[in-house]
Amino acid sequence: MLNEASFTVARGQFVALSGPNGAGKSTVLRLITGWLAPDEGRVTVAGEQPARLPDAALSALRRAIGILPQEPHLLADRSVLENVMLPALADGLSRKAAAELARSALQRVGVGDGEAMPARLSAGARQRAALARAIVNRPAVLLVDEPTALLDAAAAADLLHLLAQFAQAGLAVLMTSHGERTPLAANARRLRIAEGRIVG
Amino acid sequence: MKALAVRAHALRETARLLRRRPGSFLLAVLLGAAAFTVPLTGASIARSSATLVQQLPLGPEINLFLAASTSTTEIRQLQSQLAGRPGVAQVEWIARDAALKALAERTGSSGLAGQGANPLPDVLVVTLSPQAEPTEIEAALAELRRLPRVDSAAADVRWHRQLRGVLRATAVAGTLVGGLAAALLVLVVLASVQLQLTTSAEYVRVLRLVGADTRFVVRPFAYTGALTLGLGMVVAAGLTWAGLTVAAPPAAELARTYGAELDLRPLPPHWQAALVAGAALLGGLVAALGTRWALRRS
Repeated sequence: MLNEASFTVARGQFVALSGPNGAGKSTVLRLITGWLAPDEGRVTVAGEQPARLPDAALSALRRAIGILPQEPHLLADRSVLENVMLPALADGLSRKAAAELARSALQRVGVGDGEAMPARLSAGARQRAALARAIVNRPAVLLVDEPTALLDAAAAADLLHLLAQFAQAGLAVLMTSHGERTPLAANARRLRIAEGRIVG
Repeated sequence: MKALAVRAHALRETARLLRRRPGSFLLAVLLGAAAFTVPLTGASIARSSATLVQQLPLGPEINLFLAASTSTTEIRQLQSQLAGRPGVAQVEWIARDAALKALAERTGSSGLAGQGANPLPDVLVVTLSPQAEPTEIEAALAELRRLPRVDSAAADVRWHRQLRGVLRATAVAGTLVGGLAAALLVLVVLASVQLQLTTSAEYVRVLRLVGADTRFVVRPFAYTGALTLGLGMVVAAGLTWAGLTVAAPPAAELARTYGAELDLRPLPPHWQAALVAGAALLGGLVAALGTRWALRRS
């Protein structure tokens, strides 16, 4: 349950929302993506209120938001490239155009050409492939849910560095994090959440 | 362009779904074929025997035996009067001379026609509407019996009652078979969709994560449903063709022993094409609704 949780993430900002389990971090992300509707208050994403959008417009908004979940959720029956193409295909792009975008996204996160199957990648590379999938539609907003929870220190540092780079490039990046000790880049702002309130 | 791209993607995903569980898909197609074969065979037989059935005297007949002294003019007047009655489809006059000649031919008794006194009466055969109820036939029989110049009247009400019973039972059985087939087809498609959704749970989760709209998620499952029933109908058409090919010669031979012609044939190709398209449409529709329903529940 969230209460008095008011904050803004602007373009070019990297905000880390940290707090213990049950503090309300995931609820914030679900509100932003429209999976939950607020009882009171307002959530605005790129000028739209997700909870008030009809189904098709909400789906379109979700396609304009990049989401990197805690687990990469790459489909095992298709190559990394095909996984990364999915959001572009869902947006109605042709296979050729989607593949071009996917290759470009994979290049930005440093996962090669994406011809490999997900099972052949390391945990860090899989998470970066999922990040490529999150940015393939060139979103203005990137939501990242505890991305380093399953990574070793080096892979986590690499990923955080990439996220900071995306923020520098103009994305609004909101990351949830369980621990307050997660090292952040210089351009990152940390917000603490506890019992549904922003406390610092 | 966008519409083409999403449909091309849906076709690729459909192929992926089928490759993942080819055995289940084949089973669903065969179950669909089994459900389609019975009504399709029934429809083919009904169409093949339509001409034969039309020739059957389905309308109840009342025979009016006229008094021997009735003149031709009186008979014609009575015939005309009867033809104008409500519920009467046709009135045929069988002249006593013609009846004797026919009897002589049928029995081979050439001496009958040559006899001076013809013992047979003139007969008016009153055919009622095929929809006439047995009680209406009985009422008409009683009424016609009282007409002047009518010596006696007869009608096989019992036979007509039995015929109506058989026709009603056939219609009920046909409706039941059709209803059961339709229910079986819906269940086959829904079970198939449920199975595919279960094995594609991660795919659906990812699509929702990346913001795919419901139609994008549903489309491959709808195409699979369309393919299931479309191919099921194709297989059913093949089975019906094979069955009729085997059954046609003995059925024709049997019909010939009753002096009738019967040529069992499958439905015309354009009808079958329409049925395949209709089955595919039904499969797609049921699968789409089933998938939407399952997505709402999850």
